[in-house]
Amino acid sequence: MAGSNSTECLRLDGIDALRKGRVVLSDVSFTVCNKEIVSIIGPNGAGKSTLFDVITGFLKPSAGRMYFQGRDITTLTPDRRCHLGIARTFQIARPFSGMTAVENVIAALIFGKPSTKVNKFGDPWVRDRAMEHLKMVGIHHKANTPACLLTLSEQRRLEVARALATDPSLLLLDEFAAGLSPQAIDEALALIESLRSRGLTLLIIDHFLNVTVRVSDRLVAVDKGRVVAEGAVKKVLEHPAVVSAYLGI
Amino acid sequence: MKQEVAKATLGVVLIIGLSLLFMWKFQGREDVISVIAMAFLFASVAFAWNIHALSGVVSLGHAAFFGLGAYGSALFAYYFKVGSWIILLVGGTIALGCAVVWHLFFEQLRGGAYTLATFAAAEIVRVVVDNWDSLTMGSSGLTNIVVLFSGTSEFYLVTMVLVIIAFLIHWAALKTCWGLQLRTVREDELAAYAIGVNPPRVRMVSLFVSAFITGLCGAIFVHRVTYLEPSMVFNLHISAMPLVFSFLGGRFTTMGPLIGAFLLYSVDQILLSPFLPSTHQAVYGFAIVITVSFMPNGICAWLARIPQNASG
Repeated sequence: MAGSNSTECLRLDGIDALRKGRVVLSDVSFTVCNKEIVSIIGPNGAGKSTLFDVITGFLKPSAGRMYFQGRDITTLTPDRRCHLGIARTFQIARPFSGMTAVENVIAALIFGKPSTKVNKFGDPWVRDRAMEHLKMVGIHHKANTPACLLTLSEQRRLEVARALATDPSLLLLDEFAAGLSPQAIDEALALIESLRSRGLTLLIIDHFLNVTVRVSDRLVAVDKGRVVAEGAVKKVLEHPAVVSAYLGI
Repeated sequence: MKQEVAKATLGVVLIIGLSLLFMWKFQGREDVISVIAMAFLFASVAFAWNIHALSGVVSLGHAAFFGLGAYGSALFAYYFKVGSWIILLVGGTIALGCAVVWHLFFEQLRGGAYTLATFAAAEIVRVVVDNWDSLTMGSSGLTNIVVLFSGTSEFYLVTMVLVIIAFLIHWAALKTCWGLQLRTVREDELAAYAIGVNPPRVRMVSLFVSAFITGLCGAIFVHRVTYLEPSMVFNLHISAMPLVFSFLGGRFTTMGPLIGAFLLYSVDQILLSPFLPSTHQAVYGFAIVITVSFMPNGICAWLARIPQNASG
């Protein structure tokens, strides 16, 4: 029953989802525990991003339930889920282009958690907090640059800063390491470790296995909308279904 | 924030000061006072239009709200024999009712599709009002509508108060937390959703506020001119005017719509209309072309050299 396991963070129970009438997820069930780092792997078009859309409320599942901290969130809209503590980044960064980097983060600070009402809009404290988040992802020197002028990698960091500013307990990172240089990947992994040490639960989509397997506690392998393997990193990577999904045999 | 509140206060003081100055300067010139009052009225419509536009969509159907406000108020006064100021609120409320229908039907539309839908929606309202003879007197129109304002000066002061209220709400739609919500929604709806903003609700509130103020303006308008027929209020000109004023003055500046309305409407009515009675409205088309080509963010932004503001 929901909430029976106190360390359970997120549980998906038989999720089916359709996109434009086509089945993109069928009977997806898995559990993420608090403070865990779980990576979702799978080939292109396996349904990884769709899974994120379902978890964050952007796509309504056609069947199944999901629970966050024991609470049924199946019918909640994305903003409500954000308020409960689920934050995400997008596969293709979606900054508020006309706003500066720090304004992007300020907006997330103000609207991310209505319970801790930051209603003193324009308060220097809010700006300081926003700067801390930018510093954490290493783009504080670009705080006053319009988001549309940031490089792709900076935009992606900005997305992480913005997601963190909503004060989540579960953070979903979509294709976090895609397109990063080897050095940038090392930095990204250091960031992930520091997020874990702050007590966050992380769910990461990664197409390239070599990146996230280094920090993940567990893997969930998805192929053609189904979970084909789940468990310890080594076990999943050697699973015949995963091998065949990646090699196409 | 404090600085912005101070600026808003300054804006209100400026509006009141200039209005009284004009009133004193043009004492006895009822025609000029009347034109300025109408400029205030349409500036309020422009503010209202822009409050909706700040949520990231462009409406070409605000004539529906304006006309329903006018008709609602005039017919309510006629059928229920009410002659008090309360009927102005009836006008606003009926426009609000229309906005609820818009919201239900157009919520999923964006961009050009939304603009077209609003345009068509205003036409539908016009056709209904035009043909529902038993209720609205149809195309023969209404005459002898209750006069609410005893004279030009009173009308002038009423429109001044109206424009101040519209200015303050428009200011809030730019500079407060609500303004930041609107901004995230027009920049990127999905990203706004992901950081805890509810875009459908934000868009709905901006539409409702906008419709109510526009309806109120329509009601005030009709109790000034005291006659009404469908083509007077349900026409593209009424829908396009606030758009032109907002673009000309500056859509992302707190004073923009008012300055646009004041410049263009006064120039049009006082300087052009007497000499070019049939073609003077071409100035609106001209203004929009000049603005879009040379000052895409409007006069205010052009003067202040505000950096480009994304329109979403």
